[in-house]
Amino acid sequence: MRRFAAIARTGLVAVLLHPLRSGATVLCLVAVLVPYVAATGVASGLADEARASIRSGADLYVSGSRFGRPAPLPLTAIEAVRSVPGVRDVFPRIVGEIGIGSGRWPAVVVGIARDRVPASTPCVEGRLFEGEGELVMGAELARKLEVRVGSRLPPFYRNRSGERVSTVVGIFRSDLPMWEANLLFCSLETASTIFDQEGLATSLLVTCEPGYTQAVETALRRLKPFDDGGPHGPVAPAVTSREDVQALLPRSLGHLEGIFQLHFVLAFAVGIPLLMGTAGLGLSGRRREAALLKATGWMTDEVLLQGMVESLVLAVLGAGTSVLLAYGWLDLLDAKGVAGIFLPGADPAPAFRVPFRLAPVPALLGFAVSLAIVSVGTLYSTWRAATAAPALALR
Amino acid sequence: MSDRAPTFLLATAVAAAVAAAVLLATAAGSAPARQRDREEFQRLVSGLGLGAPVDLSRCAAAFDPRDGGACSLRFDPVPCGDRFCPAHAGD
Repeated sequence: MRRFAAIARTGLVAVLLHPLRSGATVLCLVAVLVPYVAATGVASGLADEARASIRSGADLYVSGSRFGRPAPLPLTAIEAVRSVPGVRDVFPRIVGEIGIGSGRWPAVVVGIARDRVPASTPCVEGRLFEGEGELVMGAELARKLEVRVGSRLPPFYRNRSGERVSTVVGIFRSDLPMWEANLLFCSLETASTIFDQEGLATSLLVTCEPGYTQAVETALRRLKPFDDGGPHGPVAPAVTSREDVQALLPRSLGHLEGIFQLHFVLAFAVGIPLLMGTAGLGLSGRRREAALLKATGWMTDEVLLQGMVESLVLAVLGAGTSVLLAYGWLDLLDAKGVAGIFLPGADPAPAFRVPFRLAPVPALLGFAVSLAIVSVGTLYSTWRAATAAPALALR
Repeated sequence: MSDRAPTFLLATAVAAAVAAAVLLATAAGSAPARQRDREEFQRLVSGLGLGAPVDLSRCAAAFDPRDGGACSLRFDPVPCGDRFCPAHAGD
């Protein structure tokens, strides 16, 4: 055991004897692993946020369809949906997009009836909306528009009845789920006014009695199209259940994660020759070192053990540093510089917290691949030299 | 090179590995307080957001398909253009 420890110590000495080579190897590992660990962390964090969104949402979402395309529903559809046996609660929601500000930045308008939101919430700096024309704004949008709680917005929409000044009564905290970033949260009436679409909603959110979700979904799909007597005719219902959305999640986020992993397979592929070179593949110095050790009485397996310890230390340093740097980048620096790459529409330095969760599997995979590549670079040269006659290797 | 240098290197490598392992084991990034905030926000807006985009401008379906949000490119400018939508091409 003592002999093993002594040989292992020489592996540590070997790392220190060539600081430039060791440093270059660790830097190469860090350059490849940090983006990989960070990207898979963001994908995991996004998946967690999406699951929370599904859990907190309704059992069923009823939207409208015209020409097979999404269309708003008349509010008169609420009674038809409520009358379906097994429905516990139904309420309308408006989710739409509008450009705001001099840069016409896209804002997501979400309108919900005032009696559906609590009196207060810790999520908002300021307060929630109470009357018409009051908005709660997302942190990123507030930063772009340079508004604070209490700021008044000039009219940013068109309405046949005239446009009004809006008041920002609250701003979402920046450490909430990222979908708050460009939000304009307001009452249903305010959202209707913004889009000039009175009596309509983009969806009805349905909560069902326990065990009745499937039956309610079937009944809703069989409902006659909703007709409020308007000039454009009836609107057919389209139903999305919580299970449908949960089934979509692995595909959509798996697609995102797959894109990250494909890019990093390419990065690893490019990095392999570089890593092998810095680790010692083909270096004459490594051959001479091995030959000298053999000439002084070292056995081949002892020389290889030294090389293995050297590779292991470099891989541990590279992988460990990568995880720490990835965490620092995502948490302390809020993914500055790369948020826009991971999240479409986000600024390089976003005003919201980029979701992430560092998982063991990508880090362990990265460590395993790093160890394999560095070992090949180190051990191949060492083995070639160790198995040759020392005099030949020293020539 | 001093006699302690290899020991210092070993200690550094072990410290880096332990620190990384602690971060990974505690699933760094998903603290309980953040989970509470997450749940509170989602209850407030009745469940909003499912994908990577932070607004509806790129793809409403990728942002949140629950409100009838179909892919913005599905019908215009070319029918079945959702096959080429960068938010979820190929799905």
